[in-house]
Amino acid sequence: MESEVPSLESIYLVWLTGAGCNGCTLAMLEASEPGIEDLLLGNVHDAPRVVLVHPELSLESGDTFRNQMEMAAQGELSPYVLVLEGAIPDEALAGQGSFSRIGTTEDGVPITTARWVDKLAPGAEAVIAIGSCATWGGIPASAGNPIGARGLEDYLGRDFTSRGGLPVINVPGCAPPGEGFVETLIYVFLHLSRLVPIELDEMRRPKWLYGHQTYPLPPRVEYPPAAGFDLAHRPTVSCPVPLTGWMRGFGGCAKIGGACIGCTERDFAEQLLPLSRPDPAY
Amino acid sequence: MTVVFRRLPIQFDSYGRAFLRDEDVDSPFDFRDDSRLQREHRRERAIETVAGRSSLMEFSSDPVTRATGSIAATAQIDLEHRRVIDARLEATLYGGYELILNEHEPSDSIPLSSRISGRMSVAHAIASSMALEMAGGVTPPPMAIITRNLGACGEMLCECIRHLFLLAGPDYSEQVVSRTSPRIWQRAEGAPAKGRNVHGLETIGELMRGLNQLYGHLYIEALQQTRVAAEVVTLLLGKYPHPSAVVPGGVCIEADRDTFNQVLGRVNGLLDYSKKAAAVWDDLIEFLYEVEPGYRQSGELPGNLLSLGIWDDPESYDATYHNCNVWGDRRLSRPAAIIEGDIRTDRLSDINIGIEEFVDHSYFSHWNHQRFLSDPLSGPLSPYHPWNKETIPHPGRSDWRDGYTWATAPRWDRESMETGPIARLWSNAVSDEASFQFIGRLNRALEFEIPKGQRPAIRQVWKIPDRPNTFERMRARAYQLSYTGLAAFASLLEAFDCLRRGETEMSKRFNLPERSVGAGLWESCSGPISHHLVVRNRRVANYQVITPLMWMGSPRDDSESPGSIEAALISTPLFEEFSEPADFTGIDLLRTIRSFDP
Repeated sequence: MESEVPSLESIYLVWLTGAGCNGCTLAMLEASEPGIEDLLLGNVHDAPRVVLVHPELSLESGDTFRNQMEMAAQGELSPYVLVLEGAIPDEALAGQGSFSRIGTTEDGVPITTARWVDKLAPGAEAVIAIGSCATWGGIPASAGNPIGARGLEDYLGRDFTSRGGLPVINVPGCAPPGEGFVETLIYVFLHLSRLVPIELDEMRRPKWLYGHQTYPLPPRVEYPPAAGFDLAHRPTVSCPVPLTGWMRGFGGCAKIGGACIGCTERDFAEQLLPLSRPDPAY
Repeated sequence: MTVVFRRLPIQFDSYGRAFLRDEDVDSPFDFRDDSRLQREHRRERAIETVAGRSSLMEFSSDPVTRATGSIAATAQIDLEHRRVIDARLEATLYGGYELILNEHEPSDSIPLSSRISGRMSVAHAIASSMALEMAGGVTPPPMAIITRNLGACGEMLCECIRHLFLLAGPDYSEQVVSRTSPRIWQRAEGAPAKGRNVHGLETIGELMRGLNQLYGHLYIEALQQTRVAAEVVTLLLGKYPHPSAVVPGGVCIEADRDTFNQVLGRVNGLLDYSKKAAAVWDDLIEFLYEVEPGYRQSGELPGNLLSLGIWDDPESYDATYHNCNVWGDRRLSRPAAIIEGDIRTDRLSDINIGIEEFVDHSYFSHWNHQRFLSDPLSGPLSPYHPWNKETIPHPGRSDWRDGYTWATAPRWDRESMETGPIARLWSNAVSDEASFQFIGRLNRALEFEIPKGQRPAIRQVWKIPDRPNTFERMRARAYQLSYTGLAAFASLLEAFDCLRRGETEMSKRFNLPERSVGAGLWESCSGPISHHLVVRNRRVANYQVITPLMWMGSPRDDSESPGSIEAALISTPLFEEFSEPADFTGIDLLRTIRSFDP
């Protein structure tokens, strides 16, 4: 960097993956107003130009790719925001192996997702968990899974504060809509530039997206059981999709007649199972 | 009768029923192929004799980026002779999804198993619903089958475009080619592009600049087109990734003409775009063959190709295993198992019983129990078949001789199989008749008539290549875009027919017996998605999923034969230009890995 004062002309976005399905990346790519390319090309007013370090999109591969993550950890890629997609497995359960690794040390020891979080979270201006796996464990944290998955806030501790003075920011959903996530990124950048305050609710979610309860409709199926969690006992969820649709204003799980499975909720999925209500007539 | 299985001990009677060749043999499936074992041992010894030579170097890429699966590759390369001596591919992530499904409410398998892979979530959801429908004996109504077909088309269109231009595309961009092959880049700048009437680009150099990551016009255009394809899924199935409208027995949207009209507009746009995509990749590949004829050997494999078929005929699909060879044959893209370029079978039940999954070099333990001796048609089942397989994770330190990956090694008739667009197009080009009205079948070729849109109408021809290689896999993916667009168009015509007739039922009552089995045999863009389900006491007793990453990214099997990507790496010559080993980027190897879309 030329200047000593961290300038927000540009910022690195280091994208780390754990136990998940990479669906959040797909959802992010679906956002178009603005799209991620607008951030990468520096087209968003007042937001810094974003340099992406992302395992699914980066030009570099292998050591050259991993070196960028190492450089971030050493403070040589500054400033940066860390995004985690996927849950963090408990690698103690993997013995000498690993459940989720990105690279190995020179001695052949796996560098696990958990280890990367240790290396990258302290120096990040902000730390964002995208998707239900990264926020609170999601489906990989369900019973029966031997990997001991958990979310980022649980892993780092609720007291964690990023270099930019923020707690872990949770953007839940399986996947969360891309437009909501790109908006969140922009708010975080503007907040780091001291242009706007970022409003988070008590669960550290972007308040304007998750701060109100919405009513998903029951699935439009002639005969139960249909997939869908128990709306009779919990009629509302904290999810923007029933209001905004899935992308460009249309679609949306329950809006089109499909099933809401409560994927933005903190107790998704283990506590909400079965997602399908068996017909009492059976 | 034609031979279906060369290695498995299964034969067929004159009615086409499968039986075990020798009933009296104990453990008929527990044989190992000694000749193949010996071949692999010879290769290992050959590697040992050259080990220590100064020209030998280990290339590793951990992670391999621009792949959706979490994978790492290691190759022993001989820089002097510019060849690969050995290669291993590791899947570095374990998600544990199969074990989560056990003991659960079977219908939950749809939303839970779709989370195995975001990009293939529509394919997983549909395969899961088919496994449930087979287990429950429930046939979804025609309009539901058509809607699922269309949703699956949307996902495949999205996947093709994303891979061609966002994942693999940058490997052929100015950014990469000017660095790894300056000689080729120089020629590209002046080389006229033959398809400029279609894609509007004057030179190959301009085309390669368009492929530049993030900044190239082809990259940005493709990013926008993937959104159009994602909108198709969103309109019909609620959202992508992870559709919300797929339920056992159908889908839960309303059969609304407006929705299908909105889909039609997007499919027309994507069909128009497919004209350009195929012309771009044809020009790129022909240019590369011309400047470096050796590229034809890059990633070359013998042509062992597997496709389970996709997009069901609403009149034939009845969800039963007993009729799977009837409805399988009526799919808009047909199933086939092809060995060394020759079709062995196009019957779904033969394909199913030929599948085995090995874990000798994976972080999993063997299972001892064999639940089923035969499939519902009385065809013999191997103890390694997914209806018998159990998932027992056993993590450990990576060891080439022991376990080194979280991928299993699925095989068909004990062969490692290649999957994805090249396998699907090939399967349809060798079948007896054209799959549907917009596809013409020529001699070992497919013909696509793509109607006028903003671009004029065009006729495309995809020919079966001599053998699959890195570049032909990419070309097939470009033509898969056209094929899929036309399949979507054909499905839309069926949908409007149904609406006219007032057939708007979207789901059937779903019920499960106490004990049952089911299989969802389907395709995602990069290859077969199979879900094998065992139901006991109306709960999931075993749920087995084989993903395309396992077919192509599999490790050595029980006979030490490499998986498809491993074998393709071993056959890849190194053309990269570099002055010293430190500058070596392994671009030829990375292109080969990515050509499979892992």
